[in-house]
Amino acid sequence: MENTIDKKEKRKRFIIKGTTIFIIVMLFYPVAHFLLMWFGVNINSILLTFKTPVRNKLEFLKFNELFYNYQTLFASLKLETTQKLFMASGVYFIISCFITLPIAMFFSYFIFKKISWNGFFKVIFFIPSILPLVVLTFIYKNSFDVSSGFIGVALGKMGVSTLDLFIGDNAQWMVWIFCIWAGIGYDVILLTSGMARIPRDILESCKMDGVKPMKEFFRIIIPLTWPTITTLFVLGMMSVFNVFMQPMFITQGQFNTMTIGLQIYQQSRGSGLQEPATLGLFCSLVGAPIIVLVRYLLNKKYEDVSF
Amino acid sequence: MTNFIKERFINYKASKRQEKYEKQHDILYKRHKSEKVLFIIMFAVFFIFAVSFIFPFCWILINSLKSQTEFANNFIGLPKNWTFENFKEAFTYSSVATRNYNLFQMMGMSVIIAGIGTVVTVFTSSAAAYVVAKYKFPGRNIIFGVVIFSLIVPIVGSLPSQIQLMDAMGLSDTVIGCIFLYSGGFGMNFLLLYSFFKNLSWTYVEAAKIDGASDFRIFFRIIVPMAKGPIIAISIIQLIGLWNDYLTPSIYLPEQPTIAVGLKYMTDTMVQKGTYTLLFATIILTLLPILLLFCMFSKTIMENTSVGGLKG
Repeated sequence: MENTIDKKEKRKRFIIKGTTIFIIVMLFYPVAHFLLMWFGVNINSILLTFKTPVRNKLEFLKFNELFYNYQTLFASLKLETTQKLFMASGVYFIISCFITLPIAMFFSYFIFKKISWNGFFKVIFFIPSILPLVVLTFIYKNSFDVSSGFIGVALGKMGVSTLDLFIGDNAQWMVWIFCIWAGIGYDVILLTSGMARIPRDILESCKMDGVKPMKEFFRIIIPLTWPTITTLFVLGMMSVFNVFMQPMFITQGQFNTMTIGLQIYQQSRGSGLQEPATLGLFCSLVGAPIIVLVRYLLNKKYEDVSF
Repeated sequence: MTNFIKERFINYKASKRQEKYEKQHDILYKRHKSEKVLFIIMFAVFFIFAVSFIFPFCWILINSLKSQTEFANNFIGLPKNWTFENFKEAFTYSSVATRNYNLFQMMGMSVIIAGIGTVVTVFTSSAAAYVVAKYKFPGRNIIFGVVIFSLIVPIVGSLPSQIQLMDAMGLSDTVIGCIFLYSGGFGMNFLLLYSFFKNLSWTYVEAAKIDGASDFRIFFRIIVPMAKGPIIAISIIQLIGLWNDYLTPSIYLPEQPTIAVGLKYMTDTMVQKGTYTLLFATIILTLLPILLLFCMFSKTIMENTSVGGLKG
């Protein structure tokens, strides 16, 4: 009897030991990678803001000058170029959250309501997500070229010159238009899948009650897809810091199209890593609480709605 | 391959028939006159939007079949002399700007980096998601909480620090460095697989445990086959994402360009030289693998890209 209990005990211990090894083995790499590439990188990022290049090496600043990089950053906030940088980046909040997202919501509704050729349009909306941005930006920019672009040549024949579209003040507009044109598709895909989760019964009772499409859109569809809308709104807010490839490929960051993301990318390829690190940390400290707060408030808006 | 296409075509036709039938008999899709007008207007808007995406690619395809001289003279029309010379040249084109790599070599580099990167990251994500979702161990909630925090809170400007760290580890300018950066297990893939594993029935695992199967055996022989659907979907989406990624290879592997980085180099050079038809052919060739993959797995990709549509 005792022998059987002993055996059972041994087997149980063996299983627990095996499971522990399994958990450790399976989690070791992901956790180690995360510790190094998230914690390690972010802690190092904070440390970088207290360093300065000395003979091509980054060394810690002296104690009395420890906040030199921050002082430099705050001083630069008064400069027109820095203000323009923040303004140019801030515009992407409006573009993503108040132009692209509402248009995408409207478009998704019609895809969801099975507009003719909806399958085909879905594929079209998907195209920007699978194509390299280099190709999309080239095609967009080249279309307006006066000698090799079909829009540029066609407009030229009508007496409209597209020669200065990507220079001067026009350049900003062209980057913004590109972001809307290429950005709608991603939002539409996510919103359509969010709408697909709405129970059929609700839509059927709406139809039977004779609810008009616009009323259905604002009163039923939006509240029921609110979590997806919130996610996209938050992603849109993050674009203030993330957008960098579109202006880089279209205007090389010239003509007031330089964004925070692009500046960090370009400066990171140089030797003075402390500058982009300080700018990044400053933006995180200012932006993260705002984004988290907005997310919290948006989640509260329709928290009672569930299905 | 022919059977596969045939099967796809038959399935497509069947789904179209079903859709048409549903539309005709479904109360949800019965529209009043005013609604019909609204839908016609929106159809026109969608059509223009679709043309804005399709037409440039058709135009590029047609012009890639012209010689550079013909392109200069015959800008809009079909080619008078159809030629595949641009495609031939695009295959072998290399220059100082492309670091003397040709299209094939750049594609090969992309296959290695995106392929291995996808396999590694999908495996680490699956392993981490399965263990965190199904096993109770000290620190489980901390891991999950920290991962969620890292995904929600935007961290800006960690790039300089990452570059410094990669330099310190000697991983800059190496293929392994790129793959290492892609190999993290706690991203959006983790969240998607976590919710899948969380809802997965535990009965099979219990039965296997009673039969004496080890946890490793259970994971590889039972769980992975059960999660085949989401794993394949995530892998394809990840593969396309890594194939198109510009940021990581442009910083950590500029001298051995992947196709996304190489295409940028080639675009700059060819635009400068004015060899547009060659550039058009290069773009078409670059897009072929992605379009092929998309055509083969369009349903899987489109159904599973709703990751971002996750609740709040």
